[in-house]
Order: sequence, then structure tokens, then C-alpha cells
Amino acid sequence: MSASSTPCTWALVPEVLAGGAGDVALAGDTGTDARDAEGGDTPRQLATSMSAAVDTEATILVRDFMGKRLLGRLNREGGESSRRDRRDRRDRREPVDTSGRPLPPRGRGRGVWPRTCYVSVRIMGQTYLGIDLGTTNSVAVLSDGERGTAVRTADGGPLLPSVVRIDGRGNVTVGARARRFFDSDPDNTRGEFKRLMGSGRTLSFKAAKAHKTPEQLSALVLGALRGLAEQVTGHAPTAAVLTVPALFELPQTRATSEAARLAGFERVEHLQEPVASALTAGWKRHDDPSPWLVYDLGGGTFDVSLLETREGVLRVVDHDGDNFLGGRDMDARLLDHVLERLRETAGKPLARSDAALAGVFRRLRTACEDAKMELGEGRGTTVSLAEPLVIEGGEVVVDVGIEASEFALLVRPIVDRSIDVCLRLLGRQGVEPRQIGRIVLVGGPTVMPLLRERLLQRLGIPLATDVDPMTAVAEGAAFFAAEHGLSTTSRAPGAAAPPRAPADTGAQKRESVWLQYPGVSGDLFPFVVGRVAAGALRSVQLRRADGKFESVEEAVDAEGSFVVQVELAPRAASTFALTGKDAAGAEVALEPREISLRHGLSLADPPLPRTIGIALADGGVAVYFEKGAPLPSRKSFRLRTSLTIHPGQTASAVRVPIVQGETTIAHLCRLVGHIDIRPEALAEMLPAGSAIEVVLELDRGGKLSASAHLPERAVTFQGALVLVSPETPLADLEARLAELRRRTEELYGNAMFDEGGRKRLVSIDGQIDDADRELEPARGGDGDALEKLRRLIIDIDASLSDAQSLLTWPELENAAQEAVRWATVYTARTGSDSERRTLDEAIRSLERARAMRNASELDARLRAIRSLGVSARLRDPAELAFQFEHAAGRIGEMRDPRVARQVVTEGRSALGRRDLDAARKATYELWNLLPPTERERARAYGSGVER
Amino acid sequence: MNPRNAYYVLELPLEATPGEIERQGRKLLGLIELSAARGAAYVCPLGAQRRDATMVREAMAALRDPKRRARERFVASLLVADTIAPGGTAREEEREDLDDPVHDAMHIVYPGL
Repeated sequence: MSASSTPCTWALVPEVLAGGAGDVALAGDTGTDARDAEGGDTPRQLATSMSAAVDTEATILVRDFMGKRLLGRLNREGGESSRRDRRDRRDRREPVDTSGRPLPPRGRGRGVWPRTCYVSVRIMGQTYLGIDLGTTNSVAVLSDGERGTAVRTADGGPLLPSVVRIDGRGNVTVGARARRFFDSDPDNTRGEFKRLMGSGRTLSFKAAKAHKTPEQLSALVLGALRGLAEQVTGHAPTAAVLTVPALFELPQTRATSEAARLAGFERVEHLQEPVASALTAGWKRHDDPSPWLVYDLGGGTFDVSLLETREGVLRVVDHDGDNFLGGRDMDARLLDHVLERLRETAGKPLARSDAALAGVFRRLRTACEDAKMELGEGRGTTVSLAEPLVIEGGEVVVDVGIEASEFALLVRPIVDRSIDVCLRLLGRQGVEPRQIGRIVLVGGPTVMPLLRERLLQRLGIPLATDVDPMTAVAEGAAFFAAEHGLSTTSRAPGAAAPPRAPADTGAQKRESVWLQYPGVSGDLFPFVVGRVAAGALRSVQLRRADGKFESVEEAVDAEGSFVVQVELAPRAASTFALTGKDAAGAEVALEPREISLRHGLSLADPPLPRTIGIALADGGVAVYFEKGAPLPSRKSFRLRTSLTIHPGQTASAVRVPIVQGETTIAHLCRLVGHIDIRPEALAEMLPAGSAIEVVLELDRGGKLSASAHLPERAVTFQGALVLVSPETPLADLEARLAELRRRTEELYGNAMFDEGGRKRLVSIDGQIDDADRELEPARGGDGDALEKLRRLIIDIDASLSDAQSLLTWPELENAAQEAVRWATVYTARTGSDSERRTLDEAIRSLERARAMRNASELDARLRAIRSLGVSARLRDPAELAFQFEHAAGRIGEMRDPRVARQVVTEGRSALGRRDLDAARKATYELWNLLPPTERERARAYGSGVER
Repeated sequence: MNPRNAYYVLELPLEATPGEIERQGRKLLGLIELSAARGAAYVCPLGAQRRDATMVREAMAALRDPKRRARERFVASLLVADTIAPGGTAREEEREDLDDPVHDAMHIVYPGL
């Protein structure tokens, strides 16, 4: 398009972006001064300020929704056939309205146009979508790989309330409109379902007589955000990065994936929320040398991460958090306070255990949420409802005045609890608060001045001001999508088109290559790795588009792979053209012709927040993914069955329980899933001791997939993983909590407990109080409270077991001393050099555990030392013979006496010919043939496997 | 000597900088993703070993952490081959340490092996 006599400025008008799928409609300003959209006027002002005529030829200066210049990129080629007419009009430059309908002419003569005219521009380049699916609000951010822009919701803001309403006719409303019905229609309006993800529970909508899982409701929220993103990009995004809390457990992460699938996404990657917000903060300040904290207090969860940036790579050093601490707890405290006041004034019991009042409590909670914002800013307010509540036939007027100081006292324990978690994290890493450069605040509650003041008061760390607490998480997710090339048009792996075969262009041969390179690199000199899809090349070379860099011609090896090192332009995107040479030295065009890499912050692999292992039939845990392991990760390993199963039996599946936790005692870990090897899939009996090959795979966001294979039967159990949180009825939880309280009181009365032990009991008391607070709403039918109660009880159980082990501390210490003594003797005599070094290291770890009085850690070190000692001990021929015969004497107890007899024969033969390796193997086999007891199995979630 | 020492897995010299570690790790991950033979194996003082993406990521994570990097460097610098001390004969009083060896094996020892 050539220049016109009258300069013309164009700007995007968000309201009309939905005008065409794939294309973006623009409003043009035909003023005589060439004015850039950045000139200070908002797009709306520009659109309404148009007055002059425009010629058919015009220079158009436009910016896309990211503010990037798109000079001259007008689409004159049309697009989808269904919109052809509109496009034709636009291409003919006839005046049209926002939906492409012709406008009546204004003025007379050639070239006289209405006040507003539209052209069609195709946005070039890729866009990336990041979504923060929050407990209270959700946010979507689109990025071009450089900057992020939040998608605006109907009210013009970035927040979409995570609320769904379904009315009697089945109409679904999502977001702010749905939230408005919390008061008036609580039975058909649901929120905070994120906290129930993966729990297997359903939520009812009375009028529609419908039940929805939290995944289905989250899918509706995600679908709404996807629709809003579509309005901006012109196409329905097929891929996105979705954030999950760092301490989300596997069922919750898997449920989030399911929600995304239901919402129409084909490809989704997960990213931990603190990593996402850290990426946003780091993206904006590359060169901060000191470590920093991301303090993320959301509606329902709290995460804190310690980060550092070194040589352009952002690393999460460690993180901590609380899965049940958030703004909702502040609302709950405020609600309790308001209820107390109402009880005093109205004389009604208003028990939260009263299921009939569940709707009343929801309305009050919404009012408390609204009041919280003002109270958090230090202003007193009232919690009030427009209409009186009707309780037991009488009316109760809700108009409760609250002073800011009262509110501060109510929420201070919650803020302090979060600060304690920060200090715990820093203490674990041996870092003092004064060494921290800044705290990046993320999440709605962090905008409250009283929270900020308390943080400054207790930690003394400066607060960062360059990150928007409300959109930081989604923004980081969008950056992450850009870094990993997951654009909004990415398809599911199965749907991905293979690299094109060499295209016959007639003029020049074109070879296709597969490429691997970072979309964003902290390294100025990264490698581009490739492989020739078909055909043969001798070498490959990359040239930067600005002409300032040309790589060496790298040779392509025999299998077609090559590695080329490139140099990026600092702090900018660099486009490289690819060329190759064939065996004769002739230049060959490559497909893709060019690639783009950006120099910026890149993210180290996020760490796994919790240890994952398999519960074993003997009550132990085989750990396969340690806490802190880099994600993604994949492990394959072999286990053995501890039971015999027969085809046709219905209740004899061999269970492989998957647990998360930081102890190797199975029942103290959380069961997060299992694989069942079911008898109906077997043609014949599967004896105990049969091999099972298990593959566990964790993606970058911690989503687990698993498969199990029986190599002796060539049977594979694909997708046998069923991730559900255990459902425990409320009555059982209440009984369990009472039992835990009784055990705690008993321990208080134990004279053997020292000061350290008592401190632990005080902390456990606090946990029991938290559980008590959830009990009443759980009785009233609050599913969220029930879920929280269940998890708290598991935590209390683990804490109490740790505290109880302090009573057996002297025994444990004696056992440790004994084990160290004999393991040292045997390792010195018959151990290898590496065993001796490992033993030294294990003893040092054991001493540290003793100093910290950490019973579970001491127990773990004790096991390692004994294992090393036994390994060395069995190298002594006389000792080996003794241990072998001792085991052989228990043949009657073994699971498979026939096999055991065979092993005994082989072992004796091996000892006879002094084949010590074979004799050792036989000894271990005999030990392994001894079955775990039923009691041990039951405590290990019914595990049917051993190592 | 551990053939999965991070320096061996990444085929890096002990003096590699953090930037070089990241660059090499990402290169190897790219080669593995493309099923290139030179990504799938490496040679260390203990011979040729197989390599996968998880090993590379774990090695990168180990070398990002200053404490773990120091330990990996120390272990990789030990070029002395493992030797097993000559066997001896257990004395009766030491045998008493394992009162019930089978019990120990199943409940204490074996889970740690």
C-alpha cells in the first residue's frame, strides 16, 4: 500500500477486536497530524476523534494488541469463506461497521468516508496464553514472547471470578455475573471449587437438578477465559500453560488437566504458581544478584519461594507453603466474628453445623469478602445485607460495624502463620532475611496495606513494586509458554503435522529439518540442535537477520544430526536464516527457513515439591522422585508381587500404591493414587515374587502418568493409574480427630517429654484447633471444610508420630550407636572404598539428625548404615555361610516353598564351590521370600509389591 | 566411583562455569529429543553408559546447587579405582550384633539397599 497525501493514524479499538475471526478490525483516525497510538490518546479517544476524509490510499501505522508495530501488514487476501463478504467490502475499502455490514454514506463525492472505517489486518507472529486458575478469581494473559497483556473481562478488568451459576433452565453463567447471585441464589451458585479438585466430590445445582464435579466447573471458567482470548486473537486457543499451586498433590494436578481438556484445550502444560510469578518478576529484572522471595497468598493457598538468577537462568532454590492458608481464611475469621455479634444481638444460635443455614452462611461470607477489602486498607466498615435473613421464622437484620483494628487482630494470626512459613524456608536454607534483596508479592490479599506492614515489620525485607500481584502468575505462565514454543495454535502431539517432505519448488530443492532450540535463552551463545528429516546434507549454517552474525558451517553427521552454536543480540529477539549444503557443496534451502530466539531470562527445571514413591508391603516406601528433583522426570523400575493372584478372583488385585511424603514410613505418607494389576487381565495364576515393571512419568507441572507391565506374561496395564483422594466419611474423621486429641493429651502428661517435645505438642495443638474450626462447617455440609479436615488430620497424625518417636529416642539412639559400631567394623574389613566413603557420609548425616532430634531422619540414616554394614558383612565368607543357613532354616515360613527349596539347593552348591556372589544372591533371595505380615500390608495402603 | 556423576553425564570438565553447564545440558536434551545417537550415550572412566533426559536434568540440577556441585566435583576428581579390602573371618562376638538377621533383612536392612 503506497503513501497517501493525507497521513492517517490507526489504533486498535478493543471493543471491535471480535469483529473477525483470524483478522483484527482497526479503527482509523484520519486527522492531518500523523499521530502514533502511543501519543497519549486511548484507542477509544482516537476512534471518536476522527473527522476528516480518507483517501483510498493511506499510510497506516498500527499496533497490535501487544503494542507492537504492524506497519503495512494489511491483509488483502481474504480469509475464511464464511466471512468473505465482509472481507471483500473491507478489501474494497467500502465503509463497514464493526460486524462488517455496509454503512450508509456520509457526505458526498469520491473518497468521503464515515467517521469510523475499518480495515482488516492479520496479526503476524505467535501468541502465547497463560492462565492462572484461581480459587477466587482467574486470569488469562496473552503474550507475544516479549510482553504480557491481561485479557479483559466484561467489566474491563483482568479478573474473572471463579464462580459458576446454573439456573433452573440449565443456563450457565460464569464470572462476575454469576458471583452477583451468591447472595440471592446460593443453592445454584458455586465458587471455590478449586480447593476440591481431584477429591471425587460433586457439587449440586438444585434448580437444574444437576451435579457437577469441580473439574467440570473449572472447565466452565477456563472455557470463558478461552473465549475471551479468542476475541483478542481471532482464533480459539488450542494450547495454554495453566498454573497450579506448588503444593498441589497429584490428583489435584490431574484434575486441572481434565478441566482444561473439557474446556477444549488440546495441549496444556502445568507450571507451579510460585515459579510462574517468579518468572514474571525475574523477566522484569534480569540482573538482580541477590536472592529474593516470592510471597504468594491466594484465595486458598499460600506459597513462598526462594529464588536466584545467575547467568540468565532463574533457579528456584527452595519453596514452602501451606495448601490451606489464604484470603478465604481471613473471610472465615471475619465471618466467625460477625456470627458471634449476630448471636449476641439476635439471640439465635446460628450454629455453623446447621445444614439448613448453609445458604445463609454463603451470603454472609460474600458480604464479609466485600468488607475485607475496605478493612484491609485500614478503614472501618460494616458487614451488611440488603435484606434481612429469615431464620427460624424470624428476621435477622445484618448490619455489623467492624473497626479496622478489630480486623487486624482477627487476621494477624493468618499473616503471621504465612511469615512463619517464610522464616522456616529461610532457616532451612541458612539464609538470613537481611540477605534477601526483595519480596515479590502475589495474590489478591497481598494488596492489603496491613499485610504489607506486618511483612515489613517482621522480615524487614523491601517489597517489590514492579509486579502486579493480580496478574503476575498468569503473565509468568504466558512467558513460560513462549519459552517453550507452546503457542495458542499448538496442537495435541498426535495431531502435529510431521515435517514436510522435501518440497519440489521447481526452482530449488528444499530439505526439512527437525530443530530443538530455546525460544528464550539466558545464554547469549546457545546451541541450535537439529536433525535432517529426509535426504542428506553435508553442513548447516545459520545467519542472523541483522547481518551481524554468521555461524560456522557445522557438519551434519552420518545419522543426519547437527549442532550449531549461535550468537544472540542482547536483550532482543534474533531471527536466523537456515541454509544447508549438499554433498557436492551446492546450497540447499531448508524448511523451516528461519527461526527466532530471544535473549532473556530462562527458567531452570522446576523442582518437585514433594517426594513421590511406592508404598511397599512391608510398610516402607521406595522413593523414586525425591523432593527437589527437576521436572519433567521419568523413572522405570522393577518391583515384585508379594501376593499370588488367580484369574477369576475378583478381590485379589495386586495394588501398587503411589504415595507422597517426606518419610519412608508408608502410612505417614499420603496416598495419591494406585495401579491395580487385576486378575481378569491374566490368563493364568501370577505367583508371588513375579516381576512388575512400572514406569512413572512426571511432566513439568507435576502431572503423573503411569503404566505397569508384567514381563513374564507380556501384559501391559496402560492407564491403570486411578488418581483419587481417599474418601473418608465425616464420622470417621471426627472419631480420628478425637483419638488424635486424646493421644496428644497423653503425651502432655508423659514425664519423659523434654522441652523440645513439649514445643512440638504446642504446635500440634494449633493444628488440632485448625481442624476443630473446620469440623462445624463440615457438619453443616461444607465440602471444602470436609476436604481440609481430612488433610489436616493426616498432617496431625504425621506430626504426632514424630513427636511420639521422641519418647523412644533413647532406644533409637542406642540402636544407631550399635549399627554404627558393627557397620564400621565390617565396612573397614570387607567393604569397598566407596562403601567406606558412603558410610562416613551416612554417619555424618546421622549425627546431624541426632543433633536436630529428628526421629524420621535418624531412622532413615539408620537404615542406610545397616544396609551398608550388611552389604560389607556378606563379603565375609564365614558370615555369609552363617546368614545363608539361618535364612534356610525358615523355609517353612516362605511364600513359595518350592522356589525356596530350589534357592537353598543353589545356595549350598554355591557355598560348596566358594562362589560367594551366587551365595550372596541366594541369601538375599531367601530373605525376600519371607512375606510381610497382613498388618504391615494394611498400614501400607494394601500394597501388594516389594522391591 | 559413580558412572552417573553429573560431570560424566554432561561430559563436562570440572572447571565448567554455570553458563557452560546450562548450555551443554540444553544441547544434550535437544539431541535426546531428536533421538540422536550422540545424545543417548556417553563415555566415562567406567566405560560407555546410556543417557536419557531425566539423567541430564538431574545432572544439571545437581550442578546448579553450589553444595552439590562441590560434592560432584570432588567425587569426579577421585580417579582411584574402587578396591575391596581382603576378606576376613567374622569373630563370634561380632556375629551377635545381628541377633535376627532375617528380621533385619526384611524390616530394616532391605528397604535401604
